[in-house]
Amino acid sequence: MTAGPERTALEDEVSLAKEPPRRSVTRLLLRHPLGAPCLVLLLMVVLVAVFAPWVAPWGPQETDLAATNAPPLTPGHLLGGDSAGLDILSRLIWGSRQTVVAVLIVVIVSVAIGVTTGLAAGFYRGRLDGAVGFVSDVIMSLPGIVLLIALYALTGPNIPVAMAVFGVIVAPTYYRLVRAIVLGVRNELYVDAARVVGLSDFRIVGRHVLWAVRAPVIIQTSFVMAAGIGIEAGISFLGLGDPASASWGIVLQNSFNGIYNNPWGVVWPALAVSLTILALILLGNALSDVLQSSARSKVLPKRRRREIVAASARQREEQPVNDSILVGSSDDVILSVRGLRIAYPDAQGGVNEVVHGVDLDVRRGEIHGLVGESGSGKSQIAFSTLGILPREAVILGGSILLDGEDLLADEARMRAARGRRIAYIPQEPMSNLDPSFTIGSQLSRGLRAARPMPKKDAKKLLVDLLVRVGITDPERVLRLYPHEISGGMAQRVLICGAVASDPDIIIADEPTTALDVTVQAEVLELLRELDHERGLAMILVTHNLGVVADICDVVSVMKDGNIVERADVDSLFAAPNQPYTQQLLASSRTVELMEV
Amino acid sequence: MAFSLAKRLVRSLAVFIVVTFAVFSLMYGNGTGIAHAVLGLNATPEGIQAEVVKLGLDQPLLVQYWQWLSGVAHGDLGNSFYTSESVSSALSNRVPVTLALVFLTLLLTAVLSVILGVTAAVRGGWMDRVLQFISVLGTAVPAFIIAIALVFAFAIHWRVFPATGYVSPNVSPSGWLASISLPVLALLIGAVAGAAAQFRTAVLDQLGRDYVRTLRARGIPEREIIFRNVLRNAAPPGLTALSLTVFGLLGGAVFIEQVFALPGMGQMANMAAQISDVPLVMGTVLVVVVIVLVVNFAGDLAITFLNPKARTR
Amino acid sequence: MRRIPKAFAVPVTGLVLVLAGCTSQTAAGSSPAASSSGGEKQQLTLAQTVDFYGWDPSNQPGFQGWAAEAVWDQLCKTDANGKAQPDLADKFEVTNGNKTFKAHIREGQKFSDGTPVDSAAVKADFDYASKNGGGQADYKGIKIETPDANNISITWPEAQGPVIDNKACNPKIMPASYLAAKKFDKPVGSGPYVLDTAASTTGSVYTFTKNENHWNAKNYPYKKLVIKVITSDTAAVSALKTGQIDAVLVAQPSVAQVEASPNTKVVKFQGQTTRLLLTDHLGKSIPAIGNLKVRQAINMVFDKAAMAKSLYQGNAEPTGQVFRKGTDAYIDGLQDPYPFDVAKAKSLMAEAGYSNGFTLNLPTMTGQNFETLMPYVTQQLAQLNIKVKQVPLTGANAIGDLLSGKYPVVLWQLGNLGNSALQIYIESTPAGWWDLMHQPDQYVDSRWKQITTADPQTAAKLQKEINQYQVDQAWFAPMVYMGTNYAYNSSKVSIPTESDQEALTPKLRDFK
Repeated sequence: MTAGPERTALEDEVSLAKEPPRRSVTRLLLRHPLGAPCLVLLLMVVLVAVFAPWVAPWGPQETDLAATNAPPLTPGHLLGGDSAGLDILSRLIWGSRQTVVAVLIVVIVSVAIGVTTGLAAGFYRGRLDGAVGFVSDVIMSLPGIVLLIALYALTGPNIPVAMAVFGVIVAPTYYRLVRAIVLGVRNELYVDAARVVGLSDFRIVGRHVLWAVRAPVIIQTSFVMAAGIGIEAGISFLGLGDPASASWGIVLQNSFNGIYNNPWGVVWPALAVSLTILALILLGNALSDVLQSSARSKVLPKRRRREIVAASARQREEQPVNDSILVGSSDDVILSVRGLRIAYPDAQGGVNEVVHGVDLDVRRGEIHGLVGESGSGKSQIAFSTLGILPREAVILGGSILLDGEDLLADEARMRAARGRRIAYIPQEPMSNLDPSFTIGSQLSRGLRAARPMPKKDAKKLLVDLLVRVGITDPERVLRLYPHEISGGMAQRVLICGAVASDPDIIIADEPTTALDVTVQAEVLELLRELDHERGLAMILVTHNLGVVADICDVVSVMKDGNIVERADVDSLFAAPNQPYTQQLLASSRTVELMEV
Repeated sequence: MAFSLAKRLVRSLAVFIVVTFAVFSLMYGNGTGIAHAVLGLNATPEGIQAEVVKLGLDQPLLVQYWQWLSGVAHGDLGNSFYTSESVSSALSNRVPVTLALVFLTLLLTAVLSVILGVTAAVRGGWMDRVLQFISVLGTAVPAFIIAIALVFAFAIHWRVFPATGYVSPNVSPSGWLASISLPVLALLIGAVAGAAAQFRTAVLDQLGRDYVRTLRARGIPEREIIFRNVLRNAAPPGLTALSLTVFGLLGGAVFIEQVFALPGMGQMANMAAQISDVPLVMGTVLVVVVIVLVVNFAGDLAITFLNPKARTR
Repeated sequence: MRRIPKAFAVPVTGLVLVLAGCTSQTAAGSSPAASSSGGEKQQLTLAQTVDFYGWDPSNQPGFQGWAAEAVWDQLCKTDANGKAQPDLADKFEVTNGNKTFKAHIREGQKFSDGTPVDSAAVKADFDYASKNGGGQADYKGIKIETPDANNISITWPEAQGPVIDNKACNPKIMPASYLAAKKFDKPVGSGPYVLDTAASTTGSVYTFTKNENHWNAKNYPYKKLVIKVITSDTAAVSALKTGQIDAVLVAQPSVAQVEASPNTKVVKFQGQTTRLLLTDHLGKSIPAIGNLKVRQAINMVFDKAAMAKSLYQGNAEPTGQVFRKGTDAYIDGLQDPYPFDVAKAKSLMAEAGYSNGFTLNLPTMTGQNFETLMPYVTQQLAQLNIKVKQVPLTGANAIGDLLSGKYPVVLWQLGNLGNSALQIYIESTPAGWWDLMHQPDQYVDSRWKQITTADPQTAAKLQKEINQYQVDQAWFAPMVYMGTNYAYNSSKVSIPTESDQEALTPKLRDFK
């Protein structure tokens, strides 16, 4: 989860590409490769438990002395017999009842306590929060198993009580989960709105907050059930279960004690317990995938990527798509993008194209603005020149020529150019600095990665450069940590970092969007100066036409993954050709008026 | 920072008292029964009554608890009701067994989960899927079932070295290693499964962050980014995962000691609780709670130390 | 008299709630090994399956008590039949109508701290036993006279009958100062071995070196004795097979495996009789049990041969009486009057008017093999419409509840004693703790009174009469003889004698 109050343009673009179509959870779960088998197994366990009297070949205490320690596949005893002559299969079937009941108790108790306290504590905060938090800490510090053993001394073998106590022990996990979510949701505008409208707290919590909480709670429940089965089997195994009953743990304990006479006896209860827990955990994972699909990004395996790229190339040959406008080539073009197509995996295993064959030229010393709304693909292009697209991205085709050499064709070339000849200025200054290292260490390493030199020289260079970008006490700043400087200073640091390696072209991704208005102007000024001093080319990605008007020389307008218009700044503002550009200009003026 | 430290200490003390009192009160109340069991079967009623007084079991709950607590403050943990052996001496024999098991497993878990977690997060692909698969299996199958499977394999099937039982390191270091390797293995599988998955998540989380992208854009080699920046920032959640592992191991040790017949404190607590030998149980609870609090504290301290924001304030 | 050892929840091998007893000739006696006995041997390594509770003499386990036997002597030691044999006392007699035990203490014996073994020490030990530990009731009201340093006589207020030997032989002998100090961390005694604290770790291993000045030194050929605590049966078996230990008790399920290994032999004791105790013969608590026909019916629903074969893997023997073979009370050639016949049992129930059966609470406890026995017993009783409800007894109250009379009918693998008179006392007289309802019976009580003062031959005859009466009255439902299994390395160790009254394990003095 990236920090920063605003989602960056890239995140928007990426998530739009991956958005799954809305479908019912159950159907999605069943389509999940693990969802169906797990549900089936768990359903089987429940059915067996309910219909045990009809399913079990023998009664729970029905002995057949001839079958003592019988191996599996003895006639009448599919899984064999134990040391008392009881049929193991039947015992497991009867035992599933206790298992199901035990798990239900754990879940009911822990959800009831944990979710309600989490809701209350998160919503009302204050002293309730502190008190419940303390209790939760206490419970989590309890040596759970020792507590259960001590409980045994008091209650004797009473599995339902023990499971209830275990439910209490597990409740804090729900408490923490729910509380964290509630704290997040509580500040959302719609909750405030509900309050203003006059909804009672109860209804607010019931309606809005519970809705936000349901997915994590369901997922957590799956894991809690798994733990419950494990604990029930475990304490029965330790000897704290009711010997007269037939739980899986008891069967396991008996078999273990007689392991020399009947080794196979241990296998069946162990399998029963393990498979059920496994099914629950896999189900939890599947639910997590389905209910929180944005949490998982899908990186396609290499072979699939090649397939897709090849298929796409074939497709293009068959039906050439209307591409963006071509531009003429020129000697002082430092960077050229030709026919760049980028796609992202969709939920079905194919890909969604987001950039549809883009052409772009940037001349030396030129500030080239790349304008468009969120999701238009402008950030994609910027990142692809640096080779720092997200791992999921698939480049379907095209080339990026730096001084005539195609960077996409050769990974080594791309790596050599990155940071050295092509530099990057990010959007959100604070999240782009490593919080654990000093400014100096980050700048220095970045510089020395591009231009190997002794540390002392690097430091001297950086100090000079920091002064140049407007930081007055560079020696001190180098020793500081990112959280100790302001946003504006951080952006200057990042600019310094980009420029320090003496690149040919800078890719600036909305460099002023996250800054205060007053600082914005200063930073833009700085960029323009640096650009002129060093003869840098620059691609400036922005959605703000004011910025474009301020410093850009040339502008390319993007819409839905295509470049629809390209012109020099004055011509564009004076006489936009395309209807989209006209709309853009018109709306931006209106908004700016309103902001004023 | 000193103030927050003091606050933590007070809080830990409060937790300690609440937990020990809770366990103490669970075991309270059966004075005559305990006295009878201590004396044996043909004890006379007078004898039983005398024993109840001798053991202090006629006092009210709070008084008994207070006596125990003040004893602890003086380093006296009391004596077992049944054997009259001092609890500290009993613990000093058994705690090292459990601690050796837990911390050896912890050490191996830390090393393995870092390696596996980082590899899976960075490489992705089949390695990631294998780790996820092992991770699910490892967390699904309870440790004591793994332990049983190991006993099955080594004692029954292959008849290799003594699968169960304990050899003290004083007696024979190599014997000790042999007797502890299967128990450690049984615990290790589950522990690594959990910790590696958490570590993988932490690393993946860092890898998705903006600053990593910026560092890449600077041309810094990927390897350096991972081993310096990513690991450093993934350390706090990694440490949290490890401290959670310790708690899981302490609980799992009770089962493992049962399966492998290790004379550790988990087994002692199990047997003592079943016969209401309160001093022994309380002694074990004391050790466990102290370990839990210390580990929590150390973990928080380490994480605070790693966080520049907290350090520079 | 040996106190009942405390029963704790103990793993697999299980602690047997037994009475003192003696071995019988029919226990699988072990023959001397090929290697010689008599010459000095280096080390004997034994394993015990539970730890013991420190060095307080009133707190010693009666079972696997080799450590106590190593460091302490007693006035006398009981043999397999419960008869006193010389130990620290070289001469002794029972006088005064079975009320007084007079003994002469061997000259020149010293404790390991250098102080002499004298009558003052012995007096202190008996006094201690009368005030401490669960067996103190056995010594209530005794008067001790010490005419000189080497003579002592102990007088009980009432005639003790056949149990006087047990009582006189039980207390361990140690200096009075040791008892007064109450520290119990390092034992002081005059026994054949001395504890080597440096080489011992509580709960794990105890090492002893031989006391060459012991009066019976040549009976203990091993220069060093090591006792390891191994609570897991699988661990014990492995240790035996790999030679790490020389001998250990093994659990029932492991016997076949151990026997199959080379150089290992198993002594199969028959110190226990698996049975139902039907103690409410007056029907006060469970009216049905008060009916003879019901008790007889219960005796007839168990296929004892099948039980021995299946539930005990053949390591058991069907029986119709509760006393051990070869003891005074045992009736040779007794035909089991209650053969396995469910139909007949049902008709008996009908005659008694209980064809609809009744509910029965049977207590259970961990470590007592109930997992194996209960299902079959429950099933068979169900054939008579007797609905069994299992009551698991746990925690500190378990033993107390078991013997409180709350459960008149109990299924137990109860011990049989070499001294069958003692067994009668404990199981069948109102004062005995296994006579759960403590109900008087004219026939038995009057004969018991005679036994306390009778000569051995008459006593034996009376005991057989009681046995026959119990069988006729179906006071028990005996099923099989079974017992513990003691495995040892036959190429190294031999066990030519068996001195345990309880027939549970060899005693330390039996290892050669």
